[in-house]
Amino acid sequence: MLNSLRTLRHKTFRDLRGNLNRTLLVALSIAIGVLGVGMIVVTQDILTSDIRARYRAINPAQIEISVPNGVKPDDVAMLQKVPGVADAQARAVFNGRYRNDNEWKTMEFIVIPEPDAQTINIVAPERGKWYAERGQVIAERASLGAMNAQIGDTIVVDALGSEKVLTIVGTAHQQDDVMASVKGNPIVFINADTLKQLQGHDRVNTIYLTVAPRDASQQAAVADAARDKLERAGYTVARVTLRDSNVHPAQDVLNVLFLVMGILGVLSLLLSSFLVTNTISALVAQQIKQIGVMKAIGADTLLIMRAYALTVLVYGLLGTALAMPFAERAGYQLANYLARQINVDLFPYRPSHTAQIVMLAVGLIVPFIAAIKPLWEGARITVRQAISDYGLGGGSGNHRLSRWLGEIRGLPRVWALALRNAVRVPDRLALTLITLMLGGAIFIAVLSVDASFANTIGNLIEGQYGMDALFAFKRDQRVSWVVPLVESHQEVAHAEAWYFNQATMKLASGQNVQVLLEAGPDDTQFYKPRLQAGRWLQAGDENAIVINRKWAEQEGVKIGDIVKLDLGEGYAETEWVVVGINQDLVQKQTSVFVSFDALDRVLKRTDKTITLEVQYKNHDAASQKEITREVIALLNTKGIDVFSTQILGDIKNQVTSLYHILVVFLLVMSFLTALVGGIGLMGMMSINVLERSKEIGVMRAIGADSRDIVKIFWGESIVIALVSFALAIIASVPLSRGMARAVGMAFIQTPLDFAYAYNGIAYWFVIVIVVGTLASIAPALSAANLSVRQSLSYE
Amino acid sequence: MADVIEIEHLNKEFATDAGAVRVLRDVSLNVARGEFVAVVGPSGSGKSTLINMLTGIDRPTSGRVMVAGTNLNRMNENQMARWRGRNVGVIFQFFQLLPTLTILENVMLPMDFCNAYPVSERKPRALHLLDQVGLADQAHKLPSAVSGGQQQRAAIARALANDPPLIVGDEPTGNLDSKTAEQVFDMFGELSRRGKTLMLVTHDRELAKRMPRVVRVQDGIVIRDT
Ligand SMILES: Nc1ncnc2c1ncn2[C@@H]1O[C@H](COP(=O)(O)OP(=O)(O)OP(=O)(O)O)[C@@H](O)[C@H]1O
Ligand SMILES: [Mg+2]
Repeated sequence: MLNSLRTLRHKTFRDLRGNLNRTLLVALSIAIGVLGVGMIVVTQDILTSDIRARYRAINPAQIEISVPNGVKPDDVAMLQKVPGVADAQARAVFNGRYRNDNEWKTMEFIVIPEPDAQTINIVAPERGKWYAERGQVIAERASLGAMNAQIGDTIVVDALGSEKVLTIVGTAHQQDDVMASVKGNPIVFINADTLKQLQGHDRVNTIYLTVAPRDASQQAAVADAARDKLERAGYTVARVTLRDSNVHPAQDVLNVLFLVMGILGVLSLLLSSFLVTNTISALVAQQIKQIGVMKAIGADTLLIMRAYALTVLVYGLLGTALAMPFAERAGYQLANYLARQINVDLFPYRPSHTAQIVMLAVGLIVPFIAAIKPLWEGARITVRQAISDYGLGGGSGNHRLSRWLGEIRGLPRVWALALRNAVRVPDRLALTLITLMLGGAIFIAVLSVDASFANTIGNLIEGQYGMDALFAFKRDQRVSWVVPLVESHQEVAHAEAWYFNQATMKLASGQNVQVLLEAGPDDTQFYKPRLQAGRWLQAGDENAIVINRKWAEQEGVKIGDIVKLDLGEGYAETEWVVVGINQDLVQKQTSVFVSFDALDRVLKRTDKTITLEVQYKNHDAASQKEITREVIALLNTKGIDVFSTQILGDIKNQVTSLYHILVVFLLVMSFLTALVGGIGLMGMMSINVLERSKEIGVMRAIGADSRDIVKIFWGESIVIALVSFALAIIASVPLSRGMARAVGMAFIQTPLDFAYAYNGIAYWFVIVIVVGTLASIAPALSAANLSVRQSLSYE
Repeated sequence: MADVIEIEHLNKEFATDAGAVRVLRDVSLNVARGEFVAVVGPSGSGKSTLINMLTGIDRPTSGRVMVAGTNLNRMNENQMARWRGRNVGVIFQFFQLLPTLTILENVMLPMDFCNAYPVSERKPRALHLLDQVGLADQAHKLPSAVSGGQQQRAAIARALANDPPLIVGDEPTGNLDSKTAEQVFDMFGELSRRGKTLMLVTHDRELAKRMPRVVRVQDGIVIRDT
């Protein structure tokens, strides 16, 4: 028994070496499956652990308190005595503006009182100088790109109405918030002197608190106590924000990414396992005679299974060994790419042990599962069946499908042959078709997700906001004067006064949430709500509010509930009745709406606005920029100072930038599945060539030259490719819908507005023809180069 | 008119691990048009190798092989394939019909490969050939649906598709029972009477005895030619 195994082992290794191409092909397909899964595990493992470690290292604040009028350093220190507070520090954080490309843009200015004594939300020096002196700024490193500037460059900022030139002298790294490109505004660090020049004061307005570990569960209570303490000391607290210091702010988005990629990785593994099934069944079919002989001389089913299991093991080992180093590096690179997007540095390259274990397990176990059926069927073959198997081999093609294809008349013989050959081994064809079909369907679905994102964002932002630009004035302007003035520009279609501000919304449940309060005319021509329940604001509404669906879903707010709004800055708290539930993507779905008139009563103002939404007659980005410039000039001639402007294209880009990361990743994965599909087809074609080598010899013997042979195999490959193409299109419709829905639910808690990527069909057609050609050309050429003698004498 | 087969001083060696093996030694042989030749000899004597020289499947180590006026030494594989398709009908021991094509399509295939007849003539011609071998009623069946003898007759029709002057076969009746072998053999006789040149390897002494000319090969040498 043991001896017979040893002999069989020799046979196995000789077979593997003798069929080097096949061995490599199977190893390669296993490798791609392992790569797909391994890469994602590496990315997830490295990225999650690194950003957690980096985030922990800056000692992130758990509580952030905003005191607009500033707080004295002694009173910050006083907060340390509040029970549960571990540490307290404060900074000055102000929005100002700088000039970029001749337009004023918002910029965030931060003063860190003692840069070297930071203990919370630590900002680290990067390059150049670390202490900004008067007239100097240290730029957050991810902001340089947005400002289109380098160390040594100067920027023009607004200092109480006059322009001031500041020099960028260094960069720093801030990690307590998501990157600037998502947030939109560049961030710079200045000293208190400079702040005084810019704002006329140097109040420290943002307090960071950490909570002692044993009080971690009391975070909210600690925050309330701290707020109480400040209010009792006479301060007006505008806002209290709670944060989870264990979870990086970008972790949510990353988790969705990992989930989607994980699903695709498993899918590519599944597809690659089909290739293993195909190859093993071909191998067994080819060796049926040998199996018969082995049985005739005493081997039992188990022994034969063990011999072939060894083959599978070698395939799995080779494939895993091939994939592992690749997956480690590619996974680290992907992690690195993602880390750069969220402005975090990875630790240096090192292998991920978790991923290694997963890859080993997957690479060794999956091939066995894939091989079980063909191995079992092969090993059970009786001596009788085995020795009666003679002829050309490679499937008789005597089944219903091929007989039915035989009915098709009028095809050139060579093509008829190609067509019928394609269906000779139906199981093999089916697995290859599924692989290619899924590859194509996923490819089109990914493009559809991309298109749906663009569509959704377009609909939500352009459709919903309906404006082309947002103007913010330096001082309040009279609505009755400024609106007609702006509308007098001949390129302007319409203008409306709107109000935007951060506010705290106090829910009936006692929960406080941060919202973006938006107020506009109740007969707005711009804003198109997407109501999920209730109604929109109406003329005559006294205290009606429409909230974002996020609050309905996460906090259970219902129509008819009463909520309180705290606008901060000394305004009284006011009560509002929820009349509608709306969906809006801007500012992470925090916006709530009241009517402009109702708000005026709270603010105790009439006919005043500081922001204006304007719609132009042309909506392309170039016109938006150009007309905005002209309107600013027009306003300037009337003595109205425009503080900053934002065109809709920019707002849209901010929202889109995050989703693009996802689409890039999806495309990487769909490329992998397409690759598996291509290799699957190539595997099928080389198996076919192998099995039909006798037939090739016969065809050459009766007059076929190399071109004929290549044509037959290429034709077969193209037939399969085209059928898979048709199937892929059919499958792509539900898959695209499902994926757009899932991704939408994960990212914005709502299905995307579906847009099918018709261009994906054209791309995939080209890809599938190229794949079909590449997959058949090598096997067909090797078939054509077989001499008649070689092919006829082939075992 | 020149002979269909002219073999002069043909030598063939195979390189093996144990060194070169001489399989054919200084064979010279002429076969005239319309001759019906049997090649006989013990196993391993070189019969198949000799036949393979005529179809260009094997190449001589030295010597000259002319078939139907063409020097085979000078052609590459692709030229050889086309030439073979037009000039030599090959019949195999295991029939070797393509399993996915019908009997009729199998017979038409050589005409497709060699573009020998106008497209519209191919089908009538194939049907005519099948009629000659008595298979007209089986034309639309797949090979797997007919008997071994019928498959071999279809293979003969296929060998005749491009109307080649020479037909060769390596034990074409070796896989048939004696009664069917007899019928197939009669068919060869008929072809020979119609002017085809035939050269067949056979193990069947009875059949060989009835053939006009028998070439006996032993250890790579033609020891008798009657
Ligand atoms: N490709 C090859 N390489 C090495 N030796 C070969 C090769 N082909 C044939 N031979 C050897 O040449 C000799 C003649 O072989 P051939 O097949 O011509 O014999 P045969 O007369 O047809 O025998 P059989 O009646 O058994 O078919 C044999 O000894 C065989 O081993
Ligand atoms: Mg022989």
